[in-house]
Amino acid sequence: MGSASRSSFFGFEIAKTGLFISQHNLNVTGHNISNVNTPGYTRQRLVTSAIEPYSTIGRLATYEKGILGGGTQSHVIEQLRSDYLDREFRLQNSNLNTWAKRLESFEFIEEVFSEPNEVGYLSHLQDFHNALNDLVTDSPGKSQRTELQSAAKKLTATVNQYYRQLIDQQAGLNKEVEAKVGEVNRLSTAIGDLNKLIYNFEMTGEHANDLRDQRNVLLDELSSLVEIEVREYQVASHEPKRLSVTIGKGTSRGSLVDHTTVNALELKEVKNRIEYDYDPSQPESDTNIKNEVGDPLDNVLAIVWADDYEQIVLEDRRNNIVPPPAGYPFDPLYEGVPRPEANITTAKVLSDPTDPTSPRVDVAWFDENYNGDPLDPDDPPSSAQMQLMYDLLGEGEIKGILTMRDGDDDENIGIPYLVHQLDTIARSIVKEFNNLHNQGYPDWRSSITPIPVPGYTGTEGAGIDFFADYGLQYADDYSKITAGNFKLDDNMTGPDDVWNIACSDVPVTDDNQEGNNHNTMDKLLNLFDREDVPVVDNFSDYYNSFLLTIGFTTDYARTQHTNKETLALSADTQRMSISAVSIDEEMTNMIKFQHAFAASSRVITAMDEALNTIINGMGVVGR
Amino acid sequence: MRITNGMMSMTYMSDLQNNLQRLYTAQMQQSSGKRIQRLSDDPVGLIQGLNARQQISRIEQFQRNITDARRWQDASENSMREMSALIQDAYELTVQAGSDTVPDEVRASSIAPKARALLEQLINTANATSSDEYTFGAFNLKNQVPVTRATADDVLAASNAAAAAGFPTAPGADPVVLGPNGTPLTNEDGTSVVMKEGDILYNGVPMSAYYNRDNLETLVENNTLEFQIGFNLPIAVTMTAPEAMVFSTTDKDGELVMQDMIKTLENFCEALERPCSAEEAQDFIRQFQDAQTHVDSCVSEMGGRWNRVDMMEDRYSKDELMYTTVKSTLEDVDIAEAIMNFSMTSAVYNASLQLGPRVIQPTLMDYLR
Repeated sequence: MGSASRSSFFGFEIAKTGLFISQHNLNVTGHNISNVNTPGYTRQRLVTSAIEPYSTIGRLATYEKGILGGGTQSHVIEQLRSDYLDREFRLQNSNLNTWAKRLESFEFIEEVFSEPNEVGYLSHLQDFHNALNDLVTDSPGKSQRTELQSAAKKLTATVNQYYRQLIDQQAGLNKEVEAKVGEVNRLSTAIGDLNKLIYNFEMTGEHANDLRDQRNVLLDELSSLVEIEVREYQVASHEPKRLSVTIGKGTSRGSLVDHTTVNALELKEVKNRIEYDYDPSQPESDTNIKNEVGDPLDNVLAIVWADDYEQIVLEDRRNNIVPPPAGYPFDPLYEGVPRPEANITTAKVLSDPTDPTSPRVDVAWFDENYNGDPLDPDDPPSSAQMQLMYDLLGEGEIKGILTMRDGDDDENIGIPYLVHQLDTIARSIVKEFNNLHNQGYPDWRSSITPIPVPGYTGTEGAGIDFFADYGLQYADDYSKITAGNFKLDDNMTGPDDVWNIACSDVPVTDDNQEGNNHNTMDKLLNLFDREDVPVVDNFSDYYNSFLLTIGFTTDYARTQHTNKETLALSADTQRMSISAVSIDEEMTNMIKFQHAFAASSRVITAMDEALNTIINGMGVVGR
Repeated sequence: MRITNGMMSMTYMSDLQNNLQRLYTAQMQQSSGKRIQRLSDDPVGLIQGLNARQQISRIEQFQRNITDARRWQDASENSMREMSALIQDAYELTVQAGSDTVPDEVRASSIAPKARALLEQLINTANATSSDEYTFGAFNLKNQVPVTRATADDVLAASNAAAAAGFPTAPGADPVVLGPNGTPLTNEDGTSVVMKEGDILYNGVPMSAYYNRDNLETLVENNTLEFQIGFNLPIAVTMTAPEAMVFSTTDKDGELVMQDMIKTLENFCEALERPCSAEEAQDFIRQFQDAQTHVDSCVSEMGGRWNRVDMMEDRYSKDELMYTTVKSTLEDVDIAEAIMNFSMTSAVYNASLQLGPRVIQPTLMDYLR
């Protein structure tokens, strides 16, 4: 009968593992509690298990039945985090930020066109109309003429002011594009650096929990700027995971970070969609008109991939997607999506070109390709190119900025859209009002001799302009008149120029007393009541629908923003439900571990007493 | 679902923010009295409100125009009635002068001065002013006395102007008078209108030029002062002196002729001073009767315009009330409702503030020894 003796101190060892693990657990709890308010912190948990018995079955023939393990052991400190919820949150976060930016911008615009108020376009238009009425009641009166002049000055100044505020905002948005693209590049570089650190750290088999938290914070930040897709993949089973980040939508998706490879975004100047071709080096002329209130930007920034963009292509020669060959990272970019050939500007074939099934592994360098439709620096980007630019980035703050800065159609209402409508109003007022004013004759005190405007071929009227048309009127080209250079004609600005206002429809000369108020009354005054004004129909209604556009678009942006905010908040809440630290829970755990610690110490005490009995109490019988 | 402290404070913060937002809106509505604070609050309502504002502003302008029109019309009508009274007096003089019992010398010595006085009064009435403007002066650009007698200077100026336009005056002849298109004005029989010293001029043109209907129509068309008293609703507020004074009558042969009252009265004066016979004086009775008829018809025409103005004014005060109501319904807040909204949102806000500390503060820690 053999008796495998049991080590006297084995119990101490078991209790010691209990002590250590309890202490370790307490430390982890402490780490969790310390980081309860750290942004992006994911709660951690020590993964433990019982130590399996040392002895083999055959050697277990002891008089004690039962196999005893060796206490407890720890494996790893893991994070409680859901990739699915991260993905969900980031998607919603991108959407949210698109609309947050649009809303912010529209709320500003709404303030610019704040109606109802007493100093907006509509009240100035009405004042102008009223001044015309007053002029009708006393055409030779200087004060009535001056009233019309100053009402017109207020009207033009208001439109100029609107224009100014819009183009200033556009310039601000353009600066933001630069800043935000810089931000994307900074974040992608930081993510690339963290990828390297995490990879190296995890070579040891440990989890780089706190570095991963840092990376997740950066990814969340990135998702507010552009739409990202994050994947973790393993090239070989013994290797730690690598991480890739792609941005954009559909076929325009591109790799921003692939493990340690970081592709930068670059800015490229293209023409502004609010086109304006004033050349300050040239003298002002009919074709070179300076805006009264400042000029819009000549160029704005488009976003393209930097020239050294690097992307691994995974197709065979028959354009089938192939699994990644050993040594090449899995690329989520072209999973199921054939690669558009037009996107490759330079490619290097790395595999055997003669074998149709061999993977065609190319390294391509992208540049401003836009699906074979390169950006032309002398033209504003076309709608299709703008769509490609939005797709290159996907949803996110940058898209919000770009749609505001460049939006020029009903789908994407942005600043150029609004500016073009203001231009239309200014242009129509100049064209229609001047056309009628030309048909009238000024007061006899006017210093202008009839028909002063070169090129005037009208049979009736003195041909005097009221609003400045920069000599374009008879060329049928009013396109150079903008809300920014909308102003009174040079013949109308001075205090004595009020005599040039053409009220009469018969010539007025010094030596007879002919003259009347018919041009003001029958023509100019009715212009503002007419519903059939070319292009705009009616000056008030056109502006009203312009205001409606702003109102509805702001309202829509606000609704979208609220919806996306709810979705993002809900995703974030779910994520926090899993990952965030609960103090109650940690406290409960702390008590649990504290008790375990105390209990383990008790075991040691018990062992100690048992040994004490053996050592000091035994063999003294009959002593 | 596992609930964490962070979730609770995040949800609490976002709810608190929403409550505060509602409180802010309620407070803004209450303190400003405006239902619509921003364009996007109610774009359609806002535009309707703006339209109402525009209508109100236009109506106010029309009302101002009407006030101005009334001033002109008042002045015209008063002067016209004065003119009518003068013609009545002149008529009485003709009746007196036409009596066979009155000796010729008396006509010259006693009636003629009275007629002279009436003539001067008539000219003064034609030059009546109201607040610095000549009632019958039409579109009087330089604000000069409209009805004058041609002086030698006037004749010389007319002669020079005619010569400059290519119509030189023959020696000993009277100069022609240029019309608005730069050609000489013509009489009905096709002869040119000429200016003689002592002629009655209206704004520099002999009154006799307007015996020709065409000239009178051109004058009225080009020189009448009109106001807008409604959407595309012009109304003439003045009458030119020739319109009021040129009338048709028959001469002693029974031929239809045009005359102006000043000329008629002047002829009468000259006849009396000659002196003339009772028979001759009786000729004028008919002429002054015709003049009287003409002036009275002018007065009733003015009255007709008055009615239109009155009607429009009436309508505008009703319209103004209507549009003001519309505007107020669209733009203004119902104060009772606003106060109730405010109290409700503020109660909700207070409740959530009270709830906050109870939700966020306690943790297990508070109960551990």
